[in-house]
Amino acid sequence: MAGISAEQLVLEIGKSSELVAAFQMVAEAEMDGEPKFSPQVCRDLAKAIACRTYAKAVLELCHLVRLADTVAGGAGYEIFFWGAGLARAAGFRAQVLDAARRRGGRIPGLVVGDSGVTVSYPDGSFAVTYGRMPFLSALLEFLITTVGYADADALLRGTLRQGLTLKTISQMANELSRLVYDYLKDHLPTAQNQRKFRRLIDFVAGQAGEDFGPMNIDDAAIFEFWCQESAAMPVEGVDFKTFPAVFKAFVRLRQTLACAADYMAIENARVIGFDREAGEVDPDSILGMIETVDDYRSPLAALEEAPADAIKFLNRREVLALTLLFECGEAAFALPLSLLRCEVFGKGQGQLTQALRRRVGADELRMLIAACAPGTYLERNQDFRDIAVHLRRVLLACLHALARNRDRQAINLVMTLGPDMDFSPLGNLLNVGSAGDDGGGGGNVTVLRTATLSDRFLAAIEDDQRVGPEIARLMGEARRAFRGLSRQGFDDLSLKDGQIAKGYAAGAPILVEVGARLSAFLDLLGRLGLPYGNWDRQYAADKIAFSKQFERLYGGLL
Amino acid sequence: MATWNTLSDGRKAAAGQVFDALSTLDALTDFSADSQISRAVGFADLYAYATEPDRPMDERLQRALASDARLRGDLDRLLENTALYRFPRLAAASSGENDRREGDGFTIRLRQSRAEETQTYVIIEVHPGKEAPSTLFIFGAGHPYGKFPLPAAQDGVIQLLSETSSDLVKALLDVHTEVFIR
Amino acid sequence: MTAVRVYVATTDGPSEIQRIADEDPDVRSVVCLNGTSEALPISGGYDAFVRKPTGVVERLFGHPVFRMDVATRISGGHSWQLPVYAAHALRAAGQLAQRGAPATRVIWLTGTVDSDLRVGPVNHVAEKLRHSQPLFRKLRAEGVPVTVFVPKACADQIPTSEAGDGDDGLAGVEVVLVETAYAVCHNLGLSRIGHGVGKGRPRSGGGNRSRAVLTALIVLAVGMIGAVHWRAEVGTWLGSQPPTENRLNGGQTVAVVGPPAVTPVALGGMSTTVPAPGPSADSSLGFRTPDASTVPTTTPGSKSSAPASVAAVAQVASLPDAGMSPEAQHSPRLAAADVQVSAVEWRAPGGRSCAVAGFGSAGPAEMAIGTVVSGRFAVSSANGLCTAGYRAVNKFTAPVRIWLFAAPIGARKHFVATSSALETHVLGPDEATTVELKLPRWINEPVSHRIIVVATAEADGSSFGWLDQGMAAFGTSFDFGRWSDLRRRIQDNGMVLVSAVHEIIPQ
Repeated sequence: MAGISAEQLVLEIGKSSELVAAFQMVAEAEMDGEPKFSPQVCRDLAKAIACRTYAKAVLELCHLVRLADTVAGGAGYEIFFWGAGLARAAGFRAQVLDAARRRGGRIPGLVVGDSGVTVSYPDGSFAVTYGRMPFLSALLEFLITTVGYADADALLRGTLRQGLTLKTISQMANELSRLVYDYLKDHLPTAQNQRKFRRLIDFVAGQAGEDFGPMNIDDAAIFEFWCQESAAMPVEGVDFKTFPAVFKAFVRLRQTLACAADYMAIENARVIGFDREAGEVDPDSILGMIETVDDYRSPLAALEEAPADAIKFLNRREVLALTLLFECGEAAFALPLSLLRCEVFGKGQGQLTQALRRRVGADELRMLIAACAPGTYLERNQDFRDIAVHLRRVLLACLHALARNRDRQAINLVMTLGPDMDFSPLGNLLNVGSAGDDGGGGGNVTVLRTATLSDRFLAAIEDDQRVGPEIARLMGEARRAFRGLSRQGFDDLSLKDGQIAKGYAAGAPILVEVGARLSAFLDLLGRLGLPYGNWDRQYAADKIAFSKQFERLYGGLL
Repeated sequence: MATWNTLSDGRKAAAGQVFDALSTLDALTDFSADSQISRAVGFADLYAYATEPDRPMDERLQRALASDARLRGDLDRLLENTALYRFPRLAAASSGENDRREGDGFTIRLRQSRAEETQTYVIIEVHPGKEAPSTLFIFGAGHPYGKFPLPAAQDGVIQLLSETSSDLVKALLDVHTEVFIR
Repeated sequence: MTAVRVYVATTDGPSEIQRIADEDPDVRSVVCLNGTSEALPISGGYDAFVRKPTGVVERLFGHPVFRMDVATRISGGHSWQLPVYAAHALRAAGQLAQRGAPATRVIWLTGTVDSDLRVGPVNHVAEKLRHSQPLFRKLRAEGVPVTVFVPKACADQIPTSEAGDGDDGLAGVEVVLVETAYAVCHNLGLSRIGHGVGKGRPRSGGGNRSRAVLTALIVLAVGMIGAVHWRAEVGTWLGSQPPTENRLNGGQTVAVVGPPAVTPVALGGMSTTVPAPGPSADSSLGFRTPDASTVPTTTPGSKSSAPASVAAVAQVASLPDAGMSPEAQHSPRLAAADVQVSAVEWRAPGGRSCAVAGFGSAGPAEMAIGTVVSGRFAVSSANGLCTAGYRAVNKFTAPVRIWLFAAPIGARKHFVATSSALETHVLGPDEATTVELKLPRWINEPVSHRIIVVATAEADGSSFGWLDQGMAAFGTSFDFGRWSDLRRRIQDNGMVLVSAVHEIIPQ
């Protein structure tokens, strides 16, 4: 195979489309040193772009722009979106309520409510909730970044005229959506993605026959595909150079095939305006499937949103270490070796491409090719285990916090953390089974009032005389775990903060899920049948293979 | 689970669309170290420049405006939308230099200092009923975007003192310069 | 030649006023940094301080717009007003030392100045002085005299320095407490400072025919309602002494004679009871005659009981010299010395009572009391004393309008025979006017008379209605607050104000 020039490699590896740059600008927008838009809002925007489900949002945006100008007293809509800090529901709500207060409690043309604002028109009204405003603000930012302020404003300013109706706003929204459509038509990597899809399908079909399913996408197939395609010349922008890109592509293919059952529902849905013969699917249906897939990563995402984000359960390094595992969803359990290859040798390849971008010398490049990876499978395994241990410690700390706040989540957590403990002492504490409790009908009838029982339990939870030595020991562990963590939210003073208390209540079940998935994966890794028997030998064999491939890809540059 | 060949063409196409959406989602949200995307100048930067009196024209913004016609168009429009007033361009028949600009509710005059001949006063008169501006913007062919924070008005008059050779004075004297006040 | 450098006191250190230049009247006054085009934020305040009607500089010095350059930034507040006023006054006198030029004297000031030229208090005086110590030390080493002007209300902010504490404090620096801006000019010897043109005051000096006729009519009117006693045959009238100051430089004490304040109790000859201010009220009227017993003095190295450094003495300077309108600056200006004030007694001859002495041809005998020394006439014996008279003579080369007022101090109601008297005339050169106060029949305790003379070279009386009304209002009830305002206005208008006390003691 002829070597590829360094410039081509750099271009392909480091290629960033204008669309990606525009989205990144929105996602990285800051106000007063903080991200203007929350991670969830950014992800929702990415989904709306990817699934092309922006039309409804554009309509909402047109109404919001009109609302914004009215709130600003006719001074323009810009100040509503760029002049008042972070794009948060509470912030938008405050702007609207302040404006209403300044005008004696009422803004003509608007009905201001607790959860949103209704814009009045001669032929009806349109409501926008405060909770929706951050997303619409991000959409506007994206619109202006891609289409341009001058063009977008020319249309948006039209919505500010007097005497408009719902119908005319709708027409204006359609025009704006058309602008977005025209932009995305030229910038979405649809053609590339479709070529990529084709290549993957052809490969798997070639390996397993046309009757292939998700189960035919395995570690061996992925590795073989990468070895084959990475050294080939890139064709029409399709990049299979890096192992992580290949791994992700196959994961997505697996997930796509796994959704096949849903396609039947899509086919039967009656959606006007979509060309079923051409294979077009209602964008909202696409979004629905994407949301299902995206849901895998939702526990980690939820930890970054309020109220759980008030507490530093996981730091940045720990979140990054778990991201790929969670994004893969069930595919991680089907492709564990590929996941580890991605985490280990994929990182090594990343270092190589960075070094190429920096135009390092031949010696350093040779060293990186030989080293191949910054760590081993066992070391990566250990990273996961360390995080698992940390998760347990954090959960114990949560237990302490929840118990201190008399939050009933503590009870669930006791059960989760100590499923094998002796709970019999609780029977006496809670008087379960005793006759005459709460004035029941006597005899064997016992009426339990859940609230009373929980409160009683929580009140006694650290008293080993009343809850038994095992539960008391667990609570002691929980207390020590809490005191041993020096992260944000893990101190006695913070426990008095209402937001922190809510953070613990929201975070605890998420952490349980995160811990459960990580434990399950670690368990799988522990009993996985590897081609080379154990992780050491597997690493040694993979190192030779990856090193050889890196030599093919980058050795020509030495 | 269904296999590939059991899917109809329509469903295969749908699968392709789902794959496309997932891949695009990945491309948009993968801000890895491999990415070469550096933070470009965006609308938020233009808005801050146009509306915050103390926000200067930094080198990054200047370079971006110099090389991006669309960005310049965006800034022009933003200034127009957020300005208190845009002075009409002076008539082409005017001589090359003009020490006075009249506008609807505002007048800008230039007056050489008697006490220091190398310096010139820029006087902005705010007519009654008009809001006093806090920033003056100038731009034109020979003068890249200039932004000058204005002191508070006293009895409807804002006064700046500048070197006669300064960009501000030269730009205001130039009939081809456009002037916004905000 | 005198060249005075002016420093504005700031908490970041003193800022030299480098230059003041006339600017185009079409622009606003501006304060610039060190000759650059950087206009300081106080420019707006400076413009208001210059421009009429709010400002005082244009009113006093005529031009409406200036450019002032200062060496270092002055960030805000209004304590720069007093030094700026002083700088303008010095500039008008051609004595402001510009940047780079040598100075024979340095002044350092802080304080606000209102439209009546009263100096108001400011904060952080001690801090400003502390940050100026390097400057003071340097000037002391160079032998340049330094005077620090501080509002009187800030006297307690001036730090004391104990000998031997390692801090040289204000050694060698003269500290002057001021209540009015005029006091600064007085200290600087600027008798010919710019003169404010009062409201309605005509710009052109001198009168025309119509004004002369009007003046004559007013004189006649006053003569009809007032008590006019013009005794051309009255003996020698004594003039007042020019004021001097108490200044402590390097430990030396100079004799103290301060200009007394004025407390007219005015009236136009009506025999009404004058409200009786007590002694404390009397002093609050500002009727001070500083002498060695009232002004603290120190010798070098000794501690002062006043809140001042060892080397400084607190002084209250009050009255200015007469001023003139800018347009009259080149013609002779009326001074206190141009108005001679003297006293005379009328006694019953041969031991008779004053009631009898008025009948027949043997009228009371007239005797000159003597000249005013330090604002006082020689003490008179009440025995046989029927009437005390006070005379003002115009010794100026041009007509002078004079208000002559006399009233007992602390007069009680039972002194029904006592009345206050007011005369207002335009006197030609060497012409005189007199007022008389009858004394009570029985005097068993000391009685003091207060004599006030207000004079102006403006012969046209149409712009002094305020003074006529003001002094006439004191006829029925004396209002200390009103007098205070009137006195300020007299000072602001640069009129001559002379006062004296005459004591009459029983046997």
